[in-house]
Amino acid sequence: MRMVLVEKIKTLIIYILVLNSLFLTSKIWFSEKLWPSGYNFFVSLTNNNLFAGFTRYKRQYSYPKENLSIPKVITLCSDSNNKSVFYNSDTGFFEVFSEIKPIIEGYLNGSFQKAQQSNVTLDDYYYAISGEIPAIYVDYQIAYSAPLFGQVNGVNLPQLPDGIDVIKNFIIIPHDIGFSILVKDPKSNAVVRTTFYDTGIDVGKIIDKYNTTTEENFFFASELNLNKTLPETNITFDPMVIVFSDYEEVPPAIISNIPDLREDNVDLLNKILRHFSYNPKSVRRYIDTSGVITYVENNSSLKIYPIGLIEYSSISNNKGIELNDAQSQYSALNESIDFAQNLWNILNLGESLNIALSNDLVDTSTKNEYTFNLDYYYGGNIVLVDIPYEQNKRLNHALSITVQNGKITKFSFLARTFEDSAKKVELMDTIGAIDSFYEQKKDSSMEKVEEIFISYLLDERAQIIDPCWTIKSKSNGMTKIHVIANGGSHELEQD
Amino acid sequence: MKRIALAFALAIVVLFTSISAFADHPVSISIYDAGNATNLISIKKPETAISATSKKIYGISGISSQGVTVAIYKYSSLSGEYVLMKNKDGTNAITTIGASGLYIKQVTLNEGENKFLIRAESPNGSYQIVKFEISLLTQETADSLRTFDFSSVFSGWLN
Repeated sequence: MRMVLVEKIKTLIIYILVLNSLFLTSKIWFSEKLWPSGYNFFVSLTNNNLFAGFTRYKRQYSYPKENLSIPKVITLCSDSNNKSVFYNSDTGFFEVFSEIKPIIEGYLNGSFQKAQQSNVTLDDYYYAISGEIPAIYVDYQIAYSAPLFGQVNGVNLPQLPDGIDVIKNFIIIPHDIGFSILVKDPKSNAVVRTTFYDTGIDVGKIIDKYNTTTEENFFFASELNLNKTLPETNITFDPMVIVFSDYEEVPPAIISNIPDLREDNVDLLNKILRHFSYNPKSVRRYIDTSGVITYVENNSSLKIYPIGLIEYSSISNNKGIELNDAQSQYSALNESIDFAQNLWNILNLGESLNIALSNDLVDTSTKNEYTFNLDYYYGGNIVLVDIPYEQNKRLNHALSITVQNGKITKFSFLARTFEDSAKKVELMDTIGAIDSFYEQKKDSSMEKVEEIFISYLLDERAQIIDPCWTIKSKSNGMTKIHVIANGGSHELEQD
Repeated sequence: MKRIALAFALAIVVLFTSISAFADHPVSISIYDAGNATNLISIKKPETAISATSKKIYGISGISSQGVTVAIYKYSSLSGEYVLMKNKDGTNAITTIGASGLYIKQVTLNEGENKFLIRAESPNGSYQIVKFEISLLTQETADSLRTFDFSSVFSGWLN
């Protein structure tokens, strides 16, 4: 009897070991690269349409759509302690965000009971993040129109206060009876404070739980009075600019994969053609001396560059790639992202597409014409693009899509993947970056620093891209991007 | 040989010139020192000579000119003088102002009065002294002041 039991236990252990080995093997096969060159037979298998049905959950996963609702930065301020800043690439960001998300959703869908709502001043808004009172500051990469902000957060008809048509950031403050939310419209500078009765969410506790840092190395420009006119210098700051008082260590980005878009890669080129609704058998084609393949059809052309750039252009606003639903800005955005995501799957670079919007989407007009610019993110920092690629043409974004009358009429996509580096680059402090920018300033016009952030600048040459400080400034009504690299600053051309 | 000796001497001179730019700031300053210039730095934060805050970590800011060196001192009741502060890495808290003219310094406050002195020195040797006092409020004081302040000044959006 005892022997039988022992045999049964042995059999059970063998079963567990076999299942475990199968599971781990599948992990290696389908998730890891088996060859140093980066080609993975099994990944190409998962991208096959027949096989895709079995792994649908994976194909539907899309960074770009997820990224729409994720803030760029969350700052926690305690009244007497330090401030903590969480960028969306930081460890712990999503834990903090998961606690704040119900507040955003409840605010937008109107499920919280309002105690009071009133307009407050901009000074009130800046004071709330001064660190003198407890607060949570949430800032997004771009500004959204109010309806779009609701939609990306899963609320179709957001219950936002009158006068708030655009949202980029907001502040949550604990209150005796519950909490308050201050929302600023960056276009009109209107600030509305809404206080809610107890919702069961303790904002003070969230701050205390995650604001555990003992050191603080940053300030908002408003805390340092740098947003006020400084008569001694012709520079001023947006109040919400984060100024670091310390050095930053950031890893370089290494380009790991560029798709092979040469003319002899027929299989891949045919798949791309079919994605753009071109018939590979009948399409007219020519190749120039630099290896650029141009496909021409009656209403459009498709250019494929060896640098990994795919560019589509239709001949008129009414011709193009038909989208299933482009009735609203949100549906047009979603459909466009899906189109790019599917192209990414075809390119089969073995990585998820980590790309996010980089132009504000604040236009609520119904002209039925939208342009979406998106850029890669590596380690939470934007990868800027500045590539001259034809006579008088310059690529400024990794992905740019124009939708007109429900059709994609322009599309350009620079395909790249990035891999981790063990090395870290020490960046100067923020003031050092501002000094470098100021040294290159050509005139004495008043310059308003709107943003200072770390970025990578992708050009056609480098394989390893060092991080650099980037300053977005406004002067005489013109917005400029300055990249601080190699001890100097240079201005990027903007579209 | 002469050239090498000359280059070596020049290097020594350059080295000592750059050191002396920092070395000109004394380690301590008497409370009676008023400086001999007034236009080298303009302190933006704090805005007044006496201020109060509930923030333990506080940002001081100012505008100066390129090439000016700025040192920050804290009053020591033990010596009765202002003593040159240290950076986190142990170096003296002296900053050479860059092209933008911006000066920012982070300080940690002790509860109660904190007396600071900023000494800005131009390359020609003139120097300006700016003194200010920041009081770090206790939690109870901050809370009671906040109730008053926010109901009257800040539109009453807190408590």
